[in-house]
Amino acid sequence: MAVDLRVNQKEDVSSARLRQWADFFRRAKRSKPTLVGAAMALLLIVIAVFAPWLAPHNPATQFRDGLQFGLPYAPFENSKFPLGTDHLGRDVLSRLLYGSRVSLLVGFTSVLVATAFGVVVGLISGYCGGKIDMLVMRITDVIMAFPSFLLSLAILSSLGPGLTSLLFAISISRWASTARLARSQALVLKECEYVEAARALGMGHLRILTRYIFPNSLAPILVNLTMDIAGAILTEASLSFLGLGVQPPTPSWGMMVNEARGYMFLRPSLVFIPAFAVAFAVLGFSILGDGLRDILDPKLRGSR
Amino acid sequence: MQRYVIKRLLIAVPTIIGITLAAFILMYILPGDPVAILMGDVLDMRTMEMLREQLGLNDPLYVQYYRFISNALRRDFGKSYQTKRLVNDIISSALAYTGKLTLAAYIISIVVGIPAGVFAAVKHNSWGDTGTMVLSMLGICLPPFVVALLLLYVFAFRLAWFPLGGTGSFAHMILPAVTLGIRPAAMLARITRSGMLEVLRQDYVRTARAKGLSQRVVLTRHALKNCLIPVITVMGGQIGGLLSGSVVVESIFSWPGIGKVSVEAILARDFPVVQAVVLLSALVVVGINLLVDLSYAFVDPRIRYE
Repeated sequence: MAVDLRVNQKEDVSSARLRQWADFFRRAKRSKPTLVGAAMALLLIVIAVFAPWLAPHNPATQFRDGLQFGLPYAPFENSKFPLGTDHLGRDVLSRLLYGSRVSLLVGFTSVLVATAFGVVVGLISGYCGGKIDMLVMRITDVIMAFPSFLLSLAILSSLGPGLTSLLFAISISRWASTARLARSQALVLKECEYVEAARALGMGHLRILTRYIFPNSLAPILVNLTMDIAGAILTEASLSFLGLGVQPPTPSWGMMVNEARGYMFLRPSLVFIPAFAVAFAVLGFSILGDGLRDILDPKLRGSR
Repeated sequence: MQRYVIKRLLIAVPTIIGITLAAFILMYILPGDPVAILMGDVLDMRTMEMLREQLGLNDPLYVQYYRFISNALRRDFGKSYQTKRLVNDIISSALAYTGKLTLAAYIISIVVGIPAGVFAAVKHNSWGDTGTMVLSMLGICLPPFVVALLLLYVFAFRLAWFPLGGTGSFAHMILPAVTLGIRPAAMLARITRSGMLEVLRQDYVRTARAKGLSQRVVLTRHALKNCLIPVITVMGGQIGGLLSGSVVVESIFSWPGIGKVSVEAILARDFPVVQAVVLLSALVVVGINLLVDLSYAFVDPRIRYE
């Protein structure tokens, strides 16, 4: 009897999940911001993956014919360099395409690490309550008190510039807010009837957390993750702009803006092409996050 | 009321202790021996050891922490490694500059954001509403350094309406303040709009209209007043963002505030300055959050009796 029950329950759960996904895609198709944001994000991902095939030149090569009387080419001035060259005679288009790799790599990796850590800590904290919860919340209080960019900056300066320290510096300042979100989800969900039922059936805490609480808290966490990617891309660009991000010769949009600052009044395109690329990426993921929130959580609609 | 205030103050205590601990620990994760930085190229073991003893770096950690706290309470953060000036002097002049800029950014965000939000709510589902929301999305998402460079290029270089950077006159402050103010203004517009949309549907607003009050009075006295709580929350929450934003904005406009000082200190590994900046900015954030919490009780009487 008990076995029968469980089989039925499993079928129910999986068909309910399927229905949820179908419902999700139906609503996504109707939500313009989600489609626009998803298209922008997808475009960036395609560019980042296929950069070596899309780029006309090597992004680090300093072309001898890349400078004209010692000055960089403007966009459309020389057919060999469609978006012009920079002060070292490197191809701007190639650097721009390759630059998406750093942005997305840092954006995705640091947010995934921060989210994974934050979700685990937050769910446990909310589910267990008591002293553990108290301690975790005080720690997040402290981390969130530091202005996140200043914290990343200070950590980065102590670890020295580079990709790994960049990822670490961004993740550390971001996990606390995710932990808060996951905790608030766990607090609500652990009072739900189905969790009580699971407990009454004698299920272990770990099983309840992974099977019931985690899947049901996913929607707001997913929205938060998308928004965080936008934030992390912005942080990476700002840190690279200050010269603390990835180091040359790896091209990054923030670094391109920084290198071009001296030429800003001579060749504004050198500054504004990579600057708008950053804006495009941040905007894409933010719009996607906004759209996802509208789809996944109608209660929160327009709350930001 | 009193109990509420005391409760909020008590909750802040562990956070403040945690912040000082974190700022203190930062000194120990920072690789690079402060003594080596201080002495520069001269590497003499005996002098180094003497200096270490002098700076108290050989004492146990808790003694150093105690000294750090008692010094910080007297606003003594030591001397800058780089310029040998007192950190307190460097920070207090920088704080004044950043404070001015932050205040200006707040004023801009209130003057622009709240009316924009009210406008969008009143014209709900019109072109004006959509336009305001699209603009606010741009305002939230555009990276501050992109906005700063754009304003610098257009208004300082092309049109030459404002100076390129530095300080001295009121005009110097406008571009950096606008750059910093755009994001909170956009946030305020969004939050005011959603709050107003909620409130405008309420019975008491309909009653006010039925009494024949003018649109202006209904909007400001009856509606806006009742969606102030989220507005205050958002404004308080922006302080950390403004301090973060000031780092990039100040270094673009060469504004000698906390942001510029911290970037220079971090690049030069001028440790006492970094520590003081990080500590003070976190304390400012906690202080503002506390004020926000206390102002809830002031704005919404229900909270006082919780």
